[in-house]
Amino acid sequence: MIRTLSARLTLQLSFLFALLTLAAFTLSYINLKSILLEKTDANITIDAFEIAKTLQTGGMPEAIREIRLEAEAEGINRVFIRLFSPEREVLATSNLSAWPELKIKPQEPKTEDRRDFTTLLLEGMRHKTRILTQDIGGGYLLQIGFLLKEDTSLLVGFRQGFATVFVALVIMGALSSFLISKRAMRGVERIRHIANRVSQGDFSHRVVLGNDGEEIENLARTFNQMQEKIQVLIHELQDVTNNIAHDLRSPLTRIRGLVETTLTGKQNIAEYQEMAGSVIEECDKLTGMVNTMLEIAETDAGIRTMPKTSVNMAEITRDVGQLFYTVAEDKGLDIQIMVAADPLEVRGDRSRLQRAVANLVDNAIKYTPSGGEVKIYAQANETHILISVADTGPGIPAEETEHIFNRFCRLDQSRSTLGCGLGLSLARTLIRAHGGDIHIESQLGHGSTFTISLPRQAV
Amino acid sequence: MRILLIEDDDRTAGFVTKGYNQAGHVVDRATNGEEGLFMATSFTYDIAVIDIMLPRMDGLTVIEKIRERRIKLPIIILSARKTVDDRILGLQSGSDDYLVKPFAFAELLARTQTILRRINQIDEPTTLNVDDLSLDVVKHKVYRAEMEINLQHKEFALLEYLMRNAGRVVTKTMIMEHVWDYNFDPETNVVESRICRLRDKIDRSFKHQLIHTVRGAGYILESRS
Repeated sequence: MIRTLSARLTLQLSFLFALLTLAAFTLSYINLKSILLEKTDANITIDAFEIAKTLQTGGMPEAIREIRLEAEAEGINRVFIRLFSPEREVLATSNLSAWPELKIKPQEPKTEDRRDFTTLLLEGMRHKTRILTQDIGGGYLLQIGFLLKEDTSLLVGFRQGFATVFVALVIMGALSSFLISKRAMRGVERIRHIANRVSQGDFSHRVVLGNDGEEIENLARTFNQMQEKIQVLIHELQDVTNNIAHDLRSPLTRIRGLVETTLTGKQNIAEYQEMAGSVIEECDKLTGMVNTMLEIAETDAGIRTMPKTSVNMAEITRDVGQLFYTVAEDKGLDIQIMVAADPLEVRGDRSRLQRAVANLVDNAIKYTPSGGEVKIYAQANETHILISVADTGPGIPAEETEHIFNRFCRLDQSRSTLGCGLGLSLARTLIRAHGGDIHIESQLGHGSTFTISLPRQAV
Repeated sequence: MRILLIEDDDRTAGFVTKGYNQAGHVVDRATNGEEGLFMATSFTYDIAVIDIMLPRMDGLTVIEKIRERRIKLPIIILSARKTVDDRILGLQSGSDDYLVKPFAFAELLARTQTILRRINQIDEPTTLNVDDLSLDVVKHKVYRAEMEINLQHKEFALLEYLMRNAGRVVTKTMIMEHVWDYNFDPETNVVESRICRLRDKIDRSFKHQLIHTVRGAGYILESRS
């Protein structure tokens, strides 16, 4: 079994090449053979014609002389001529010294023109003979035999010459097929080389685009794109891991510090209780963070099967607004809820959609300073249900609007603000799992509007 | 009440046991599935709390075997796994409730009481009383020291939940789940804000306070006079 593609290609190409050469030879051989025979036949026909003419004009003696002369002219080794009476007795022959055992009976010509060509290997002869038997009038039969000695040696020479050339051609063909397939596979080999590095963890190299033909170029380009994507993913993963580590370390440090300072001093029971309370608060935050991370990961990976029912987004928005109403008031925010009167139905998982909306409102309240306002709208256009949460917070720089949905993203100015930075990320993951999306419009210094769009339920 | 706890982790078993003891219950603990099954089939318990990942025999198998022997033992599953499928599997195998680790002990205690109340078919009282505070579930009215207090719909639901769990700590998560039907805790202090409003109406103008904050853990409604 031949394993490499280039060896297989070489073999197949060589075989094809040999086959085609052989076919070409066979065709020209057959062609040559028939040309030679035609020439011989023409010669014999002319001789027969002349003898017949002599018989008519000069009578038998002249004809007999002509037979001898014609044979001598062509060479008595190459030609024999015999003349038969109407009773089929031999009347005259050429010099038959080179044709010792000529015993064949003349063939009665059956064709309309009363002549018959045949090729025979006569006894005692080393080459075949082309024989014409012709009725030359008056019941006489003329038989002329031409030894095909020269024709045969020409054909043999042609065959031998071809055999030599054929071997050379096949070798050359194989060699060039090998070179061509090697060259074609060169690009593949280059890609393999880089892929090998990638598998060893080195993502920095790219396949250099050479001149290997479009197919290989496309493969190389696709490969490079894939590699870039992998590299970005790995970077993201590293970022997320770093952020998780950072966000875990801070509360862990706080917990340790709290417990340590309480243990080292002489404290009363109230201080121990205070410490225990703080530790629980920190732990709850950590638990919430871990659960949210799992929720994002699982929703992203589509592991969790979502039970889907008809959900009224108008009702959900109203409920969420109600839920956050007091906390917004406490913070000195003006909160307004404007919900379309009609039910805004989508198909989905109620608690997850609720959570997505709540996270946006939660986020808006968290980042809007006292005295600002938060407006919540729920409406519908022909294709989508739209839920917008507009705040008068600090706004998001244009270049950060995509970045803000990344896990653990907290813009520099808000690093100190409470919260784990997963809320928006989870909201978008949940909405996307429902076939929708979240868009941001923001004006730095004036506020942001987050809009959830969900495809309307098909009625 | 006698509780069977099948849990291989010593620390988890430690705080659960301590918590139940403080609430006045007795706890027997098994450290693996086989031992747990033996105890569940040999002795009588009011409720069993079973971890899913156990040495020798996993929790779900233990529950199946308990149910095969037709032992009517209320069961709460504890698990670190948190997927919907697990939840369904847990409930199908014959458990009565399911709690994901890490959990607040207050929640385990509350669920224990709820299941026992349901099993023993104790009628929910229509009037809840704590000290001089009384809440009429049917008429939707609240009185403190014989004075009627007007509460909004959600405030009433919050107070009812606190009063049904009077003397026990309820966490923010439990409040979110039972009063607002949310299974998560927003980052802003939604619950705190609501409790604050409720206090304004229930406690503010009275001498002794009934709603207390337990730092870190949650809230408790009880008379401390």
